[in-house]
Amino acid sequence: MKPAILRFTLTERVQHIILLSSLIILVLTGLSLMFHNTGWGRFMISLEGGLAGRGLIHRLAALMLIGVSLYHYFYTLLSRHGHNLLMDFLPEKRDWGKFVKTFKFNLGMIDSPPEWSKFTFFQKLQYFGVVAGVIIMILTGIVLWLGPQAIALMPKWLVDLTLVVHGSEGLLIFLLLLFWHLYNVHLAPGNFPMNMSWLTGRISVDELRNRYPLEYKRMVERKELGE
Amino acid sequence: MLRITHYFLVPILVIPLLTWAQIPDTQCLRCHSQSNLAKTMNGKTTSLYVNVDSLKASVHGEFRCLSCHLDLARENQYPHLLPPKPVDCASCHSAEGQEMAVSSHWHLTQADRTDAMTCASCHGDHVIKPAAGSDSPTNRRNIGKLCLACHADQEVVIGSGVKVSAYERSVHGLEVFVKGDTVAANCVDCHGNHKVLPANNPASPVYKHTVPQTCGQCHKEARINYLNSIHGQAMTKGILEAPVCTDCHGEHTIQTPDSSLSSISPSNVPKTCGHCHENVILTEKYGIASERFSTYQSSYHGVANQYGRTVVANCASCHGFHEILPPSDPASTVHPANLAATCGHCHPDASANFAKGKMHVQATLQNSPGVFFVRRFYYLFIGGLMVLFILYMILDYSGFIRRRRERRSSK
Repeated sequence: MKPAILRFTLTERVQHIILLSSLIILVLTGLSLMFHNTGWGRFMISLEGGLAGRGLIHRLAALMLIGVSLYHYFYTLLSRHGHNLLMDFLPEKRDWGKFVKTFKFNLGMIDSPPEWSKFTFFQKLQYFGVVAGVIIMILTGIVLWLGPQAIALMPKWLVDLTLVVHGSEGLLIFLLLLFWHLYNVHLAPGNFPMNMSWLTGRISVDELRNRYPLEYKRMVERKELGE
Repeated sequence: MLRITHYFLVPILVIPLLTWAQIPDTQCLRCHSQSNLAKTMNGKTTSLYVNVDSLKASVHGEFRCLSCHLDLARENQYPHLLPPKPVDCASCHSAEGQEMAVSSHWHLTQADRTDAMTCASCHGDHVIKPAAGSDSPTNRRNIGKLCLACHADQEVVIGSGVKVSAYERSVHGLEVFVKGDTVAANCVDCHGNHKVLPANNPASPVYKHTVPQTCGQCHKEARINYLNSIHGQAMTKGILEAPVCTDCHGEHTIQTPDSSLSSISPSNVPKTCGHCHENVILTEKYGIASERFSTYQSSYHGVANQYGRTVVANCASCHGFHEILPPSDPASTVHPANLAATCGHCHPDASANFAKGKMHVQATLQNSPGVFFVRRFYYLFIGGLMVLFILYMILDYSGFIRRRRERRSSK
């Protein structure tokens, strides 16, 4: 067994944990309001300390999300690690070809899978999807947080629209994380019951070579793998 | 005037006429002062005892037996050969008698009942006390109990099923029964006294379109405001579906607005208005917006209201109550020009922006294109993504399983 190598730094893992904690709380408190007229909605709201408690928890979690988002923004802007992470996430032109290859490979039309660098095209799309989603949620959330004051600043229809966008986008992010992200890190072939790298930050050399061969080659070239 | 002359006429003309060469009271009391005197007819025993002292103290104390029991004037055999006829109070109280004769109490009980309603059912027979006295059954303080003696029993109110006994716990009933207030409405204030008629009779004071007038006897300002409102206007035009007082407030169940039992309490008023304004049949018939209840319930105010916050706006907070006008009326509190002021009651920084948008509507392409399109976009986008995700997962696994099978077979 060759030594495992670092895939996610400690601060990246902590950011991820803060992000997922805040999103779980936001989704639970948000959906319980969205479905307040159903039995489980009422049950959830009672667990969350009534309507006022629910609002408070939702806003505290929102502050958590805003905090970690700002941190991540400056992390990618100012730190070397963060900058490299962002660069690794940027989609490349050749990703489109590999994207098509993935389906061809699964359909048995070609014999070898596409060779990904540090992140697959799906992971890149998901990253920017989450970035866009979080920006939308924070901006609309701030408007709704203002409440009636928001209507003093902008026409009521715009606030109504903001509410629809906030609710729908929230539902979208929830379903995306539930169906796509949790599938990929828990149920996808080779990951069951869980891909541990979000906690350990590490990936074995074998796995790196199999899943992200270009990243493996790059590390070999730079002699970052040691012996 | 007629009434006053009656009172003079009775003693001056009638009494001397009746007492002419007739049997003295002592003759009657020889038997009827015995407290165990009774008759049994059709298995039913009736006391024939007359308490002379109480009779003398009653409103008819000056009268002689034969003043009322006219048919016994020539009687000279005892016990009476024929059963004495019922006393006809209307021979003196003709106006009351005429009213009673057309009332439901008379008609319904004479037709098929052994315990027919007569004057005595409410007023008593030998011991009649003036309604002004607090010991009279027809005193304002006691009349509720008098009516409920029969009407608390659902079977008495044949076919109506109205829970009359709820009156006792209504704001009116509590005022009378608990506080001893004699101003609060009792049964006869709304239903009339001798001429009680069913609510579907247009001559009844509780007939739907007469209700505002009946309640307005006391609630004068509410009546005037109501008659000016869109509901009052519709009612005046003869529209039977238009609400009158009782449609929102209830009848025997009326409570103050701050009571949680009230149909117009902050938490109950949306449902009460919703009875009509959610109703597609009514709203389509009269061309008014429907689903006002469900759209309110899903609004900020509605959600908070459902979770027990009574300070948030309910229907009446914005639309008013007795004086409700449609938003197209410039005098309406929800006319676009007045919205900033109306919202301003609670939101001091309310501006004209509050009117730039729809209040609790089901978003359609026509009334809220923005919300309509955004919502539709998300439905399609989320739905489309889910389908793609599921296809991807199927493909992912089928490829995985196929490759594993190939690996095994090649070994």
